[in-house]
Amino acid sequence: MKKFLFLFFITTSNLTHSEVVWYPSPVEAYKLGEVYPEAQRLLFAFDYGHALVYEKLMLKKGDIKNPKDLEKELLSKVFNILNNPPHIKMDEGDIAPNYVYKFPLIINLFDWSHMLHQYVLDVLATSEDRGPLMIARINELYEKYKSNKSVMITDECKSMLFMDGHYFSKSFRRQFPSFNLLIWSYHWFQIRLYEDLLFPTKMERDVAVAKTIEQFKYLISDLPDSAEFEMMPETAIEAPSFAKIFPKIPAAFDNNHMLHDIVSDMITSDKVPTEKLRAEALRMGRMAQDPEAFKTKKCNQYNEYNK
Amino acid sequence: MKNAKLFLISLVFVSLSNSVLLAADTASVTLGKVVELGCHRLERLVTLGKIDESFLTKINSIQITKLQPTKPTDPSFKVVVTQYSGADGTANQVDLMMDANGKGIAQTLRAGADAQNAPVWNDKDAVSLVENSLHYIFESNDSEIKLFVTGLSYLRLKQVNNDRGEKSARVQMNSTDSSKILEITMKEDGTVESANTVNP
Repeated sequence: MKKFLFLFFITTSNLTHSEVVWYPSPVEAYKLGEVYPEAQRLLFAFDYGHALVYEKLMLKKGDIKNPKDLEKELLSKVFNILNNPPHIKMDEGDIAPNYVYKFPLIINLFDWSHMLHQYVLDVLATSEDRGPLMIARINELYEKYKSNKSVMITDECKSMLFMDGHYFSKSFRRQFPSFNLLIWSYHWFQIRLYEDLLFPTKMERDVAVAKTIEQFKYLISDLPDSAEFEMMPETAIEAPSFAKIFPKIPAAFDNNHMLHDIVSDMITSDKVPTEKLRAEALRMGRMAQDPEAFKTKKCNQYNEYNK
Repeated sequence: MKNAKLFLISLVFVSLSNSVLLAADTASVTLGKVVELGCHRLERLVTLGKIDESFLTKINSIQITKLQPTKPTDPSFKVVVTQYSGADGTANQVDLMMDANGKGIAQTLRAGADAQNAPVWNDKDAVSLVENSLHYIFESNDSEIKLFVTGLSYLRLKQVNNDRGEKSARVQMNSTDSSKILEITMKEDGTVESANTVNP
């Protein structure tokens, strides 16, 4: 009986969530933190903040009587983290067990994609070569990302309707406008770093990263007014040089960011009852992987619309 | 001291580079895209409580006019969003002033009577339906439909019944680049059912 229970536990826990591993870990992994510790700690804080908010919203699902008050409470918790960001990456399972249980596929998609985000930044921050070798190394990491199809978010451009075109869409942004703008500010910060780290000299990169950290602090200084985003920031617009050198990576990142908004909307929308959440999350995760779903030739770049 | 000097020089360099990047981004956008960005602006204004929620649910029409700015701070576009009219024939309106990139820079609210007989939408709100119709024309490869991206001047949302008697949303678009009217019919969830150009 004990053996049976043990086997049952092992089997079901694997069904609930199995972690993705990037093996072997790149030699540059997490070296960004050695060069730009403040930026790296903020990135760790964002992961922590995302997980914390998802968990709180999961626990309150269907019982949010006063979104304004809840938003205030959530913001105060997250600002505590942002003001004292962690030095290491936190495990989402420790912070947000309910969220991890309901969104197993999406968590794996995020993990795999976040590893690519992180390692690209690590290479950009530390590569001695600032030309072909650095570009080749990032492309090598990107090939590795693409090789794991079961957890890869597609790099085909999706229109914003992927984020906003569902029956539950815009729920989070309308109930929690400040928090939504905080998340868009996170996304802006992440993608802006790609552009900053492309500057040829260390001095220029230092200045650019310092400026982005300052701008990020300004963006979140008086939410919602301080963050003037009217739509989710997009990689090719905020990091145009990066998008030119690595034309497929921006869409993979933007699709990841849109999927974050989709998760927030599903959790907060009354149209997605708790018992439907896991199935809908799987459906949305598959959609994020599907290169044909919401595919656009416009690549979400508004300058493209002029062509 | 030398390092501090270098740091300052780099700071100036990075600031200038950013300005150049910003300048490169100032290519003018299509009228259709400005209307879509106007919808995003409208949603932000409602969400932040700066204008009434009825601007999401009771929209009747959107008109866009290209302006002639004489200095960099002048708006390049004016987007007028009008709700269904009220009992006295007046309607709530908001004028959105947009810059050359289609970013909202100011807005003026013009109060009218509360909307009467505005259609009720069960799935998506009115502004989301309008956005869906705009996405449809952006993605279209049809040369006739593309004229409504480049020259969109006016759109109107109304409720109709389709041939199965189901409630549908119809967006009618006018363009300065076409003498025809584009009619896009959608299900209440925003799925496009048909798109046709018709003579006025």
